[in-house]
Amino acid sequence: MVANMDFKNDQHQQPQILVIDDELANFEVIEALLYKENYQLSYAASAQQGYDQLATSQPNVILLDVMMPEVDGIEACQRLRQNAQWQNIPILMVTALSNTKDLAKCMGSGADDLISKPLVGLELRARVRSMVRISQQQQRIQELEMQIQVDQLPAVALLSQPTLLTRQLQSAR
Amino acid sequence: MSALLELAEQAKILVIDDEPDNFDVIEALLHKDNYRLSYAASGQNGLDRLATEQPDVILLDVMMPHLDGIEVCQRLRQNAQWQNVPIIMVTALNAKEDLAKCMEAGANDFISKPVNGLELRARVRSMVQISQQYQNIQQLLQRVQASNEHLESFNKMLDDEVQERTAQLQQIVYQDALTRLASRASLIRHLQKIIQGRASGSQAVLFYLDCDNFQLINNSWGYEVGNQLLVAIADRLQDLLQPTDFLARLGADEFCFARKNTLGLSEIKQLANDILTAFHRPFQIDDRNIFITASLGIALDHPRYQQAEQIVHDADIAMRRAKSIGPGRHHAFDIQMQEDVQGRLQLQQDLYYALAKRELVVSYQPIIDLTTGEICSLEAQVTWHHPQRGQLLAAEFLPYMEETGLSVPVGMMVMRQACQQLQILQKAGFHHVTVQVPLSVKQFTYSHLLKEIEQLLTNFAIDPKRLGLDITESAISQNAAAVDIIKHLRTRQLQINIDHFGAESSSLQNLQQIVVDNIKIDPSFLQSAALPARSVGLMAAVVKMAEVLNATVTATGIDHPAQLLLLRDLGCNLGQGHACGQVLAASDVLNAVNNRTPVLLK
Repeated sequence: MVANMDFKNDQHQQPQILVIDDELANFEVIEALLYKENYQLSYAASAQQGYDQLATSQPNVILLDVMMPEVDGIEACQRLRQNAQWQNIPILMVTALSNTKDLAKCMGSGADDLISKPLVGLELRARVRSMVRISQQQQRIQELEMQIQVDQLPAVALLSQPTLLTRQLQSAR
Repeated sequence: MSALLELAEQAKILVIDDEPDNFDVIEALLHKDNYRLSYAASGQNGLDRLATEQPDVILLDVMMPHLDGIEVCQRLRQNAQWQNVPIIMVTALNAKEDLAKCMEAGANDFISKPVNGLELRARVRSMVQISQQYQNIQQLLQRVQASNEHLESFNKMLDDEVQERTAQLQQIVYQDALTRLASRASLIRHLQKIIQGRASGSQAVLFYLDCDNFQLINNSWGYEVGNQLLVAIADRLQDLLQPTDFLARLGADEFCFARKNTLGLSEIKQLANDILTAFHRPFQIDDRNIFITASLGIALDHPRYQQAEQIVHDADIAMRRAKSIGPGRHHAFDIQMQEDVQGRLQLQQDLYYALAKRELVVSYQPIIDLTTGEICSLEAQVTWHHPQRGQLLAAEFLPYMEETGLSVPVGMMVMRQACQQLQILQKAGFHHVTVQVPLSVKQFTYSHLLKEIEQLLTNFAIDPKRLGLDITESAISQNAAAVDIIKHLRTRQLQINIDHFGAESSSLQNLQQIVVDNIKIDPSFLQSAALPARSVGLMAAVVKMAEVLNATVTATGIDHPAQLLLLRDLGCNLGQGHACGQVLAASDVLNAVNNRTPVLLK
């Protein structure tokens, strides 16, 4: 069992996974392997389609196939990392390649991790889970930082100007 | 994300593997990543290490003697402290069931042997990130909690302050700051409780105390002495308190004393006397012995009272009645008083409109020369033709004029009409006839009095010598400026008449200060047709005094023709009353003067 890392608040938000793969069959395999995980999966058949989807909704994790016609996974990954809005989305590369040079290219493009085809359910689930957690924890950190800012604003305002309230109270004397 | 890694301190990775060579490989592969690695050569050794080390990530070999990786992983997950540490299983096994065991034991991920550097780095990096994010979240949660606690304590501080101030305000509201007695609000609350407790037989009597002429104390010795006196009065009243009594200061020089439970009338009277007797001894303020009296109103609780204010109100009315009887008296409230008060209140209200609705009418009482029997003077009088109550004489509504502040406008209205009447008479050739107008106490305080009289003289072009002003002695003694005003009017040749002479406390000093043209003896001297010797003697003395002052004497209230000759023989110059002619409407004046039918003197 993977231990829960204290982000129950985010649990109700179903994690979004974007799968970019030119082969629909591959998506169907991924979908089947992640069936029990309660993720919301969406599919893009090309890098371009992936960008289009990203423009409207931001997923927690991107599963990115390496070998694709036109724009391949490596190029797509580089482009995603150059975009300020997308650069923090965890990317898991899905590859049939096994030689070290190719894998190094994948990782060098800015991917967070990779997984080899043929996909093994246990492995895919473990890896996706880690990526989802990185994403959710990042969101949690942002929320907390914002909450601290909001909490501190009125507190600071009140504390630096207690005279306002105190004055009202005093005038009531 | 890389930024986060840079910010975080060097991540610590614990490698648990029975083969030191494997550790060397891992160390070499992670060489560039700037982690702090530590090594445990067995499962037990790894668990022991955790007592002192706090790794961010654990790399755990599956196949180890004694305690294998699966069991180490299970044990870690059972320990609260290590429940959340990311664990990567390092395994040569690739069978699905073996991997499944690893995941079931609580591992986060796994990596196959032989270990590929790229894969290892990616996996470790992800797990380090998860671990550091987690630590970051814990710190942020602490900060959130701290700032929440801070806000809470700030709120609590404000709450405390509000409560403290509320208590202070309540004290201000419910306690009189000067005497430390209960306040009016507090009394109302107390009486309201008594009203609510009536069913259980609780009843009360309320005494409303008001000092007599307290203003004199403040005016002559200052507020400081006045305040000290109030405190002394409060102290003395407190001596009368029984445990269930309630004493309050309502403000100014007014106090209320409430006693619970049904009392007999004699007990109430006794208590009223006790309260007033408390004022018989002087109050010592500084070096002074101050004597003061108080008037006391009494109201008994009664089922008709629904509101505490009503009891206080009625006790107040009773107090005013007591005060009108004289200083140092008490009076109990009864329903008749309430009706009187309501009637008076209604009359007071009506009076506001009477002037505008021309219900106030000036008429004239003839004054005759007692030697000729002819009209030589007319006294202007105001009567009120009240739509419901009929004709009311001045004496009946004069007190309300004072209360409503209408005495000045009404007085000036009478004077204006009198001047107009004088103009009519003078135009008709009756230059010897005088019109006399009352000048009240209040009119002396009216700042435009002299200016307006001057205007009337000019506007009506009348001979001022024939305008007489009837002034009471109290008007002179109550107003320091009155003497100067009278002196000024005398230089303008107006006649000055002392009205109601002998009815009030007469002071020869008054007569010494001003020039008087005419002394009008109060009607009370002529109460019976046959005058007692004593009255005759007094009137003769007044005539003598008038001779000294070079003033004429008018006998007023002559109701019996038989008195006319006697008064003439006593030396009275003028006469006024039913026997001298009936009151004339303004329209009848000229006719009456013109007819020249002298009153028969016999």
